[in-house]
Amino acid sequence: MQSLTNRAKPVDRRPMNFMERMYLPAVLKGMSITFSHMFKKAPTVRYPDETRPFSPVFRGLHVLNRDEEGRERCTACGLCAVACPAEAITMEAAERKQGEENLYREEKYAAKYEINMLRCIFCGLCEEACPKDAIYLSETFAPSNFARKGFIYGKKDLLIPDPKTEAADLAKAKGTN
Amino acid sequence: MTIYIDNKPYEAKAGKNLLEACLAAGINLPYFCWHPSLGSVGACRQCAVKVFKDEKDTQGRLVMSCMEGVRDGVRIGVEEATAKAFREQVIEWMMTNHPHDCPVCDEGGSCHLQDMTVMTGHDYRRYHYKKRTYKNQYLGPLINHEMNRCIQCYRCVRYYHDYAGGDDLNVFAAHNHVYFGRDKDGVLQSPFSGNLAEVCPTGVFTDKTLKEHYTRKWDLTMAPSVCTHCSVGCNITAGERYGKLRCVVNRYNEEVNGYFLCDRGRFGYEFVNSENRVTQPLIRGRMSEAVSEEELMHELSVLLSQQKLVGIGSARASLESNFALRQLVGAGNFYAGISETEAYLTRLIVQVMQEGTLHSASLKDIEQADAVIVLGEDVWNTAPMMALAVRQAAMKTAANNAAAQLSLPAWHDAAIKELVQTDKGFLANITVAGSPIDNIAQVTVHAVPDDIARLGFAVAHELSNTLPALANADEKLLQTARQIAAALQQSKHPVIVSGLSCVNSAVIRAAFDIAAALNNTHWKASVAYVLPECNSMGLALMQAPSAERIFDSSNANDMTALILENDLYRYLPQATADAFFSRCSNVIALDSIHNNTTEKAQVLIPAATFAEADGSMVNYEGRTQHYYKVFIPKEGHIKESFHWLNSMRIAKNNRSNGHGLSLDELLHEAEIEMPVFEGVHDAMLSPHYSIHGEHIPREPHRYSGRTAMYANLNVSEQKPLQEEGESAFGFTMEGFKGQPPADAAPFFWSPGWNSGQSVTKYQQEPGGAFKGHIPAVQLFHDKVDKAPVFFKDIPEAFVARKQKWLVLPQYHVLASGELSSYTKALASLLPEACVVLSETDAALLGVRDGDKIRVHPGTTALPVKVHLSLANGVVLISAGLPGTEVYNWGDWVKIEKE
Amino acid sequence: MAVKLLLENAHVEGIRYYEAYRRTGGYRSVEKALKMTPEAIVEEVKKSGLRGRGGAGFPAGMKWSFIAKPEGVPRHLVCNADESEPGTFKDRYLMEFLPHLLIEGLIVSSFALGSNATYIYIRGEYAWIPDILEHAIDEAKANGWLGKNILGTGFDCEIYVQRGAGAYICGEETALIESLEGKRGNPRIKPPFPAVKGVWDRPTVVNNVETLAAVVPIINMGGDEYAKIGVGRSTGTKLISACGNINKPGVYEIDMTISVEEFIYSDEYCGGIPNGKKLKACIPGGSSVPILPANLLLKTAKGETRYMNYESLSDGGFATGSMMGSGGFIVLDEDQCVVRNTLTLARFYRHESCGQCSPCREGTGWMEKILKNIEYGKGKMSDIDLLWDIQRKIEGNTICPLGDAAAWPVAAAIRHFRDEFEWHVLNPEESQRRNYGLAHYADAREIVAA
Repeated sequence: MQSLTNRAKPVDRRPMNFMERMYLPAVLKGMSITFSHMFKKAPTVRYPDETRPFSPVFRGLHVLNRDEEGRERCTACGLCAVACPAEAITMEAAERKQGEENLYREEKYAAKYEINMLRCIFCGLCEEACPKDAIYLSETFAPSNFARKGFIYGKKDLLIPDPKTEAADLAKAKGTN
Repeated sequence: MTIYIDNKPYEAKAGKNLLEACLAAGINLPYFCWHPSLGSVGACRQCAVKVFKDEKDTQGRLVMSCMEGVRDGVRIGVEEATAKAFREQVIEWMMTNHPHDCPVCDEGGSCHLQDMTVMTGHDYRRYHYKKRTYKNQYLGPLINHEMNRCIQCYRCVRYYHDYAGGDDLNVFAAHNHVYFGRDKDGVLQSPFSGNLAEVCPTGVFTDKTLKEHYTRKWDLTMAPSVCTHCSVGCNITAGERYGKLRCVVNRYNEEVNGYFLCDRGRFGYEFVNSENRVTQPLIRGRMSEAVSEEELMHELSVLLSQQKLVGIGSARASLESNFALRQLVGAGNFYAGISETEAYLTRLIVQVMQEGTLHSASLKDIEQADAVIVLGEDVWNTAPMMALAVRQAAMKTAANNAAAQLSLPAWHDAAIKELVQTDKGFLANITVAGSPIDNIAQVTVHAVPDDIARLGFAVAHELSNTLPALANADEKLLQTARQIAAALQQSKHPVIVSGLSCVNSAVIRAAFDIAAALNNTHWKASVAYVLPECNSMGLALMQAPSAERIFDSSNANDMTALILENDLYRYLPQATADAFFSRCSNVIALDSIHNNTTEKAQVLIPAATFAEADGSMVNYEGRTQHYYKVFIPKEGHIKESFHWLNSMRIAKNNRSNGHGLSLDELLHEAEIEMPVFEGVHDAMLSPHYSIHGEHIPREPHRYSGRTAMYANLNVSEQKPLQEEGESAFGFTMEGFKGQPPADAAPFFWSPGWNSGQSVTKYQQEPGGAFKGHIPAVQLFHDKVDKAPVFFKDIPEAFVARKQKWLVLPQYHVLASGELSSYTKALASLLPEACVVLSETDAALLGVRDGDKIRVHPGTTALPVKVHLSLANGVVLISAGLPGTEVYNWGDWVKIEKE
Repeated sequence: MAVKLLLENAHVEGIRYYEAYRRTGGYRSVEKALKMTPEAIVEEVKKSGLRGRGGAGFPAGMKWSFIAKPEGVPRHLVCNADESEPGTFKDRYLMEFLPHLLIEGLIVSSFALGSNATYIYIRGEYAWIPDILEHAIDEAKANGWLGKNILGTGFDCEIYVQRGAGAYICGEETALIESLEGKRGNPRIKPPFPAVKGVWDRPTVVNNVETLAAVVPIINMGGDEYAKIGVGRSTGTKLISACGNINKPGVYEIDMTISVEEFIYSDEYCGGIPNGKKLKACIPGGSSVPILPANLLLKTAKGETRYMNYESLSDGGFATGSMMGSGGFIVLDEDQCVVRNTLTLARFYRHESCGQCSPCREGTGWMEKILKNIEYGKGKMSDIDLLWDIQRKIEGNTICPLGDAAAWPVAAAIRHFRDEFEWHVLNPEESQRRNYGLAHYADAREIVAA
């Protein structure tokens, strides 16, 4: 049969000689490669103690942003949900009442905001769609939990700490402390 | 005729304007101030196109397409560069002050302004200055006001003021600071204010009840439905999310409600989400009253085996449910859950309409009538949309006359308004206590029912002298009759509106006589009888005796009564209802909401509301309309009544073949059992209907959050909802992607047209019939050649009695049906119940406005309201409001000062 | 010496009152006219070639002959005294000093048109004039010129004064009618024209104060004689209210044969520019007509002398000409800033837009904002093009002519003084500081002479 490529290598089918049958030189040759690595720089990092630098466009877990005064930016317009190809975002809007101006930036807010992280494909379209700079994909990834239910992120999981009242937490979350 | 749009020939209808022609041709031409129902004023300048003199003309002339009539061979350029640039500029102008707050705006996603902005291609802002801002007003619990979003198209005022006749919304101030609102904060007075939310091309006026549980249009699960709040049967689209009914919007129906709904219909949906819903089967007297379905069926099979089983049908339940009950209890034991008087009157109407010697008027017929007589019906309060249609008749007749005078086209609203000024077409509003349409009527008469009937008979006599004349009639009455008769004789399509508000059969007969007399020369008159409830006509056609007739039978004791979606205390005086229940040993009630009747039930079964059910209803004109399930309630026990009744039938007959009857099987059975219903199944889209093997999706293709919505309850993705049996509609966004048949479209949407205005894409022409329109199922058939049988018994003139008053119901426009008052927003607008007396009678009794009196046999004292033009000897008592008592309407009562 | 028809007796002592007015020959025309047939009066007015003095210049006789005469429907004459155009104050002068002339004209015109109830719709800001008019009406009534059976001819006529509420748009005849009816003063769509359906649905003629006053001399001297005054289709005399940088601002009656140059510099009229300043530009017919730079004002683009009449002023169209308009003659000297002047006008039109159609409602506001930025040194070069673009799209695309009136001054200012706009953009600090424009325009007469 004609070979399709010219990369075919004929197999050497000669019987092995004594030296070859001892395997020792081959073992040593192999071990030399192995041991040589002990003196090279390791390509892996000691995760999770160490992490690699992220690309600036890395798309990790979502956060819901607040403004400088700590008010929620999300107005529950629903554009992230409609943009989501995995249909993994759902929300319910509510009207801001008098006296809640310090909690919510605009007259509407998300009374309920849930992302099904098991379905999320981290495409970042929600971030693209958001007209209020409210949803961002952070650098956090690899969430873990003991139950699948824990991957349904609600508002309390998503909202960033309030920069006014929880400044320390926010700094910690940002890794700037 | 042929018109050329961008050098392509299109067929166009004469008498239309270029904008309508373009839209009918499927061309996307943006517009704001024009509306199919309101006509053109040329204010927004958005629909500009170029008109060319001939093929060689390359310059052309920029015109507003809504202000230019179609001429044969006219050449217009929609895509022409300067026209496009101008349209883009107009949008830019509109946008200079628009807040761009779409993310928090309720209109976002179904906004005409968004659509038009995208359509013109305007995307870059050159206006860098401060925007003007306004203060918003409180307009009541139904409509939200956000003036900053206004683009000054004037549609709101033109609709509210000119079309619907409201006088408390207007335009104020001038230049780029015009303001649309009321003179001061306050509840909008018109009961048609809800349409502002749809008429407004952006988010200035929005549905305030939707705000309570806001959902974008794209996130709603929707289905074609029919309003259940009065006998008109307006078509609605209802939307659900998270198991809650979120909103109701208009579903265009050329022959019924057109583009509009009344507030009762639009905002009266909230009872579906009520905390007062019956959600579980209940058996009273048990340790735990809520029971499982097996326990329920077990209990029921015992109860149903009783000998004396009676069924009480309902005027607000579907045809299917009523029929299923009738089949369960047997035709002989099936009664209508209404008073004997009401049953008698509706039977009379059915008899009259089944004769076929009169055409039954649709709302469209009424709108196009050139003379309308409202004989004794308080249409404003009992069938608001019909009152709006009556208003249109008066306005359009005047407009048509004016248009003919100067050969102006009908769409040219601005010019016609100038010509018409205050002229009105002929309308005679003959009522007991008057109504807001009095102020557009040429003839207004306030009289007692008997005298109203006498006036009617006098008119009939004037029209045809073979009919008997009034005995001892006074000259004033005859003069009015002559005036009305003269107007009717001149008219080409008169409509006579009557109904049950007078609780008087002579009024109904007189209305028939007038119409029939008009048809003597040639068939031209039609008639509309308003009934109390959404399916009153359907129930009446089943010819069941009234619940009061149960007492006729001698052994009416120890009955087991099955009461279908009916609060008997709303239809029968309390004493009668109590007497009925005292004779029942077992009461099984099926209802959706807890009420006085369900209190009496030993077994209470949760019934579905219109939003959770399929069903058919017959409206006042005999039109059968089908409504489809919007959603399946989370509380799995809530099912359509006919579903329960079918199961009971199986249990009772003990011959289960494994499944109950499906909806269409039930309808087929009904058609066989009662030939009067022949053809009703045509009103519904067959459950086996599919397009290329696909369902019609109830959800828009942009529906969001499917994998997340219920993930907090169960991480495993839910199985999509599935109806028992087949259905043409699917509960998901999957299914047929094209345009569904317009008559059964769950929602209106077209690429580039997200707002309700996309309905144009489903119509043959703007404001016209649907493409591929299926004719309505009319249960009354016109028999043009048949001679009418006139009524000749004229009642005696009314004489007030001493110490006794004729008691009549006074309904309220937001609550003449039972269910709307369970809606919070509407309930907050309902007035306190009162007793209306004439001035003389009040003086006689020595009472003044606000004094409390007791009307026997009622138990509560009610405040008095003195009416200046009410006849003596009559007393009107608020009816239909929550907690109001029911009297033997049309009977004589005694009044006692508290 | 020019012919004076309207203002002939303006300086007679006590002419505001009946006695003096009658003594100088007042109400002769009524005596004459009531002996004629209404048709004959209309014919005389037609023959006179009298053109509407409100601004549009539509032949008055023609307008009168259009009035519909349905059986049994009353007709109305409405006098448009809503003189609100910036720079125009001739009607105010007439009404203030010669109220009886207007009343006389109204009686004759009412007779010609068959109006038994005639209205004077007067600008709200003229707060003191209705009293003068009403006093004059009372006097006329007391002397039998008004009321029932005037001069025994069986003709009844009442004149009512109706005050406006200060809206410029109510000077537009259909808006005026709406306002007169007590409604919001939005212009109506035509047809139907007021001559068919006007006030309260009745045939109506709306005429300017000056037009109606001019009926008096026409009847007195005959239409043919009147037509001999003036030139071409610009017959009769015209009141010009001159203002701005001139030595003698005021109302002048001209016979439309004099040149613009004469009008500005002659001592009989404006008397030249004060302090020996140079003429920079002029708005010859009220604020809504295009502004003309000095060179184009005195000579047309073809090099012909420009005269003070309808045809000559509009010679050259909008590119190099202007319009007679309502006769508000505004002169700007070399110290005046065209941008500032345009801003003032733009602000006026923004405020007076009724808000009905989008181009005018939104466009005028936007133009004002841009002009303000330019004027105060915050403008960009692209703003000038944007301004041009906006005015282009407003012009001709609105329901009533207010949009045009707002667009034209801006267009003309950019067309003729673009360099001044650019100067403001290029010299932001200086324009902020100085707040007036360039003064580099040479004396117009030097340019013309060269």
